[in-house]
Amino acid sequence: MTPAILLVEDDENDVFFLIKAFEKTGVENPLRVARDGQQAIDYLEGHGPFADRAAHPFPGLILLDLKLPRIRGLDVLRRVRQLPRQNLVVVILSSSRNENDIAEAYRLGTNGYLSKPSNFDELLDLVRAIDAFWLRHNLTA
Amino acid sequence: MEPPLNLLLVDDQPENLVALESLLQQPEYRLTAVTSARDAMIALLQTEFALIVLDVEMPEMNGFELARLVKERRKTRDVPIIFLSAHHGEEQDILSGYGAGAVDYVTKPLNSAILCSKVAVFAELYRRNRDLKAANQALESEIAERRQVEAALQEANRQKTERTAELHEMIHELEAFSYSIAHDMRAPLRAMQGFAQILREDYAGRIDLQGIEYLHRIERASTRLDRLIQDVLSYTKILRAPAPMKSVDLDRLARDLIATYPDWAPPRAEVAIDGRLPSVVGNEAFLTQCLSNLVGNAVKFQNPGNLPRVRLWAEPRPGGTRLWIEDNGIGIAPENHQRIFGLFEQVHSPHEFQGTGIGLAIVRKAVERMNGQFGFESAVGQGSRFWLQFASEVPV
Repeated sequence: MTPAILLVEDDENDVFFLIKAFEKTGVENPLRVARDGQQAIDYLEGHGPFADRAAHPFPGLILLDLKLPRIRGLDVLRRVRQLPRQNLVVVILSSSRNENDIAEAYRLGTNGYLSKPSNFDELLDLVRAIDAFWLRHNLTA
Repeated sequence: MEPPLNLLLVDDQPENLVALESLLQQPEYRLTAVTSARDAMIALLQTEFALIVLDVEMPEMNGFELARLVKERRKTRDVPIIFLSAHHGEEQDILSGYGAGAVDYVTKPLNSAILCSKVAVFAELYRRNRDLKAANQALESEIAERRQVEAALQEANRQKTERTAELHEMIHELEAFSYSIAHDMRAPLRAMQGFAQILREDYAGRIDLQGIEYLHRIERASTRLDRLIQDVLSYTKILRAPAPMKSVDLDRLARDLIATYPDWAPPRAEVAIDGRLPSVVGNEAFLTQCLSNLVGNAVKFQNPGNLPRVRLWAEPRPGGTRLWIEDNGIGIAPENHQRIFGLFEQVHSPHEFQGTGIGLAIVRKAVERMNGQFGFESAVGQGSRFWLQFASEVPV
């Protein structure tokens, strides 16, 4: 079974590029998008429309931006780590290379921290790497 | 030579005064002789006396009455008095009413030796008191001075604390600024580049060659702006990041670095290290940045068709090591030698060579922060030799 991916990202362009990059690299895992931190929490906790797990499958991988409206990325991460499901892979995908952000993200239990590439070709490379490592080779317990 | 002591001699009989004066005629005394209590009071108002020699029996106001006045006035209270008294007996009782050491007496007829020695005792006492007072004053002024210095120090400390707080505030703002540049300014840039590329790839059949070329230009321009933003961020990081210094294995650092750049390897370029590079005192991140910028420049600034050859070697210098980076590139014209380490200085147009004009400014700042030195030798068409120099050992 191919795990779903939840992309938590508020920038419309970045959402577009990631969807495009997943398409172009042939990744077939279902991709769902939360536009802010609150929506991400609601999605994961199955509130409201997200209760329908056929339409909104619980993800195996979260790609999480840090600078988000309503609830910031690091707080989403904190909440995710309080969920009963512990085998959820969270990878930060942020344009911040700030050392404090990176250290805090790992302290809160992120599985990886990826810097947003500055051009589309690099994004394609990154998506291929995410697919290979996190979606195909990585094992969770 | 010490100033003479003022002695006041009081007696209503002028001939007695003359006798007293001749007895006490010494260079260390300055004598003032008066014939009445009234004149004595006037003299006491004008001059500070070390001692009063006072006849008890005088008309109008006798010696005891004058002594009472002297002892009542704050200014003269401490002036000792030697009474000249004709009688023993009841006068002794009066004398005992004064505090010890404040007064003394000599009986008439005068024994000159006794009078002289008693005067000498009081004179000595006065001198010592005076010296003590002077020493005390010196001490007090020293204490006052120290208090002033202390206050000035405290003020300087306060200002330093304030300034430090201001600097921290500034650094904090600069960080926020860098963060904003990194995050907010690069996002629209990614969009420009990304959409241009997707348009170019996914709509290729519907756009003519001219259109494709324009899209390429959009991509190149946005890539260039992104490089510029990244370099500015690196520069501000070099300015403010903590740079702990330790011994760094230059050989390992250089070889690892060279291995990571495909552009520095055959067939595109030849980058070689002569011998083994020693360890130097520096900051690993800063050294990496310096080397990657210098070798990057060496490979980049080349005539078209020329194979870039870059050679690195170390030269021992007193107390340190000089690392040379030599290339076979286009070289630097003498009129540009001053400019190349400046921020945003570009000797060539960006059409000729891709660059942001920040690389060498980063090298300069990084070397400065590592207490190193840098320089270069170059001429047009003869390549360039850049050097960095660092201490070999951490100073004790």
